[in-house]
Amino acid sequence: MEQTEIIQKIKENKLGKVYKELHKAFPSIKKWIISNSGTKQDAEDVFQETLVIFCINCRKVDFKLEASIPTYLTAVAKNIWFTTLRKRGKTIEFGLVETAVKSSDFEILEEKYTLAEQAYNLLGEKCKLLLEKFYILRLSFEQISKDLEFSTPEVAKNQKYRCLQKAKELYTSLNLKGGETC
Amino acid sequence: MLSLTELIDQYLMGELTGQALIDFETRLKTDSEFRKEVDLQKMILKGIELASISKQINTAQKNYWLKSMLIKIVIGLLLAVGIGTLSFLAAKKNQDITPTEVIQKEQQFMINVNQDTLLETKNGMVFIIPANAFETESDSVEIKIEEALDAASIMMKGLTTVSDSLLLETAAMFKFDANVKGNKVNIIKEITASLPTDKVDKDMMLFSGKEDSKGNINWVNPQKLQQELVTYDIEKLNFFPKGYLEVIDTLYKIKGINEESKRIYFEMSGYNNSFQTHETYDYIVSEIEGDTFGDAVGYPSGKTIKKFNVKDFNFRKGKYYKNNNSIKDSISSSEIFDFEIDPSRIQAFWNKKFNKTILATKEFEERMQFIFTTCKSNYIIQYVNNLDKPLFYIDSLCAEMAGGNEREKFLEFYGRKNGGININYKALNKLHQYYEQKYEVYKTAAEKTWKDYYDKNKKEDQRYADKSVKKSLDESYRNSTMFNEELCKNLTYAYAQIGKTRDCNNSTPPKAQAYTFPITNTGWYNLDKYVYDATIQRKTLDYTDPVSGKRAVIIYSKCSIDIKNVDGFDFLNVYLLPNELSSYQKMRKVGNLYTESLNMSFNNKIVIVAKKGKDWYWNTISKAEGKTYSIELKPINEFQLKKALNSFNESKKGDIIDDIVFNEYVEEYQQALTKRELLAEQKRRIAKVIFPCSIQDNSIHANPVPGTPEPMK
Repeated sequence: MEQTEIIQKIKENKLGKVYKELHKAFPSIKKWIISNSGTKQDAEDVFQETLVIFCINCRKVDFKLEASIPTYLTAVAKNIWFTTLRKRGKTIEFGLVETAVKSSDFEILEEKYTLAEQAYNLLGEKCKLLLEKFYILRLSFEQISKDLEFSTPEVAKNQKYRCLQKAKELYTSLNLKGGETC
Repeated sequence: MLSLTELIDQYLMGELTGQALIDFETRLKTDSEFRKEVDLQKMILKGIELASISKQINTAQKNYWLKSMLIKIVIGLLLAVGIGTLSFLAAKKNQDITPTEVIQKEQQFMINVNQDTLLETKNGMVFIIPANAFETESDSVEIKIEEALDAASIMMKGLTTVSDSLLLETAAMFKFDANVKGNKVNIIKEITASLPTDKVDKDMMLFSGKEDSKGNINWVNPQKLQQELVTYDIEKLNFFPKGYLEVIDTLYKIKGINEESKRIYFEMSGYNNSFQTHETYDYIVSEIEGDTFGDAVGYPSGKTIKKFNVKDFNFRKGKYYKNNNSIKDSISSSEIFDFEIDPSRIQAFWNKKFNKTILATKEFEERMQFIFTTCKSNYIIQYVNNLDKPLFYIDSLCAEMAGGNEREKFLEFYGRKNGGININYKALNKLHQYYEQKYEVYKTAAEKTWKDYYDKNKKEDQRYADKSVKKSLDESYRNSTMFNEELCKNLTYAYAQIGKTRDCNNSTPPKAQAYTFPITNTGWYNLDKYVYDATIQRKTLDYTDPVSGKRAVIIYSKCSIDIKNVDGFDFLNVYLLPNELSSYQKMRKVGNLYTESLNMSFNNKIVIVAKKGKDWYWNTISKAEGKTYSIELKPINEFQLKKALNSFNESKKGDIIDDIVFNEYVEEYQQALTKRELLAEQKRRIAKVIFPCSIQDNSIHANPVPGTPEPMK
């Protein structure tokens, strides 16, 4: 499968169709992490974060992939693992500086974004679906009202507003609490 | 016109163009509040994106994992049950059994893979096969089962019971194959097998058979077997959240699991919803002279209603405002805050119908105690929906739904391999239906009870507000009438003293505001003003007519009453009854004394009426003077009091009775309010224990993971 096709599928929220391709990078990442003080579980966690970064970046309008996908994924994974080890108070020797990625690619791992994700996850199920359909799948309120059984698109629109406000409140509250959850 | 949120949406979603975009970006640079709002919304959108991507990755990973999973040992899945290191003794004893008696033919079944299937073999083995358990595109799969459930069968089939050179004591062996058009298919979901036995040996384990090139089987990979469950009388098990029994013991002295403790718990269903709605949205605002009268604000449920003194304000009207968010189709506050376990959910299964199910076990009781701490009813639903499955299977479903510590706990439960309770499909379906119906019925009934309770309170509050407003208007009117009457009497009396006649009907008092102009002629206009001032200020008038030199004097003299145990009554009113006026004046309480300036032109009678509980008290001063009286109130029965009040003229009697009736009503209302507060406090204390996630910090709680979970491998 071509790289452009993979990126396109990710943009269309069809990750399942290309996951097999992306997973090809996993064995070498796993091997590298295990040989650098990590475990199999560490490798799986790092790979998961790597995919998040890759997918988020694919969706950016200005994202340009300057290496092959496996190279990019490996570079991202290594960077994540370096950071993880630093946090654990360990350092490892590494010969190559990973140049395939930019520091801005890692923005999404910042705490504020995970807090925003937490805030969203704290919403009720219907709210989450509604916001996802609107913002991610970009569906019309008409379609959303059919999918989620609202009586009219206007009702769906009002609910979307409420859900968004609720998410904002939760985010603000989480921020104040310093990211704690109950 | 776009709302601010919509405008920001358009910007963040790249849909804003042209002048609108330029305007937006300009505002972004200049308006810091606006920028803050945009940043916040942007952050939330990132959060949604992040969550959506994570969800997609999880799903993709799971599907990939399931598809790629091969159950290698199932090229002819051979499973045996045995225990290591013990000897295999059965062969010789069973040598006299003929092959025809013991060798069972291979049994074949064709199943629809799109639905859950339960297979029972001739020897009573039961296989629970969940929908989509096989890696195939086909809708049907052929299942072949061979059994060797006793020693003779095992011998006749030539099956060995050796595990890495050690002999095994075996309970049974069986072979399970799945084929589509002759090709073997892999199992991708856990299939549960149940083997009939007379006696359960807890040490039995499950071995997988590995054939070597010579066809010998080595039994490897021993797995702990699921533990059989024992059922109890479900009604005696404890399905209360932790801490509940302690609270009701403290509050009501109710101990243990019984009808009463259950009733109180079940009644709390719907409390959380009503709590949210009423606490947040309902309030009363009374208006005074066009301004919102903040101090008269009423009562979110359970909060103290602030008393307002109707005498002090001239109410124009009382008005309810309600910010009603509970419109149809809305995502109600209860859904957004659906983080609690509704007692109706528990009530729906905590009855003898569910005896002899997995719910009637100590093992489920323990899980419930944990589930209460998560506040997530989705876990309960899994157990109720899978009554025919072993507990460990449902534990795995819950673990799949959970994260963090919750997942760890369910994995721990799963590791215990607690089994299931046999239940036939008919009974299963009936229980399903029963649970769903009862849950809805109980929930609806409980919600209705709460709603009725709040509606009733609201009606009472409205009635109180209406009565207060009416009383306020009546008092204003009565006070104004009394003032006019007294002014008229004073004018007549003052003019008489300077030798002039003054008709009360022309005693229109001067306006409070007046034009000022020089007076060139003497006349009665001056006296009018002096009398008006004296009457309104209740101060003595001492006027000398500049023409005739005659004096007009009206004496006001301060009278105070010191009532013994003045604060020991529910209410106490001191009525001043001037003989020449049609109604009463109420003496004001200043410190511990009731005080008023008496118009000494009248014969002033004072009547004190008080009530404590159901008992009435009273006393009178028949001709009050300007001094301080020390009075002790005497008990009087209602009949005598009425009789005493009847001695006044009709209008005075009517006004006093009206006032007393109103005071009684206010007292009753306040008592009801106190009771309501007590009840609310008790319920709040119970709610804190049974709704720990939304009552204690009334903020935020994690939601269950959506979707239908898959059992773990």
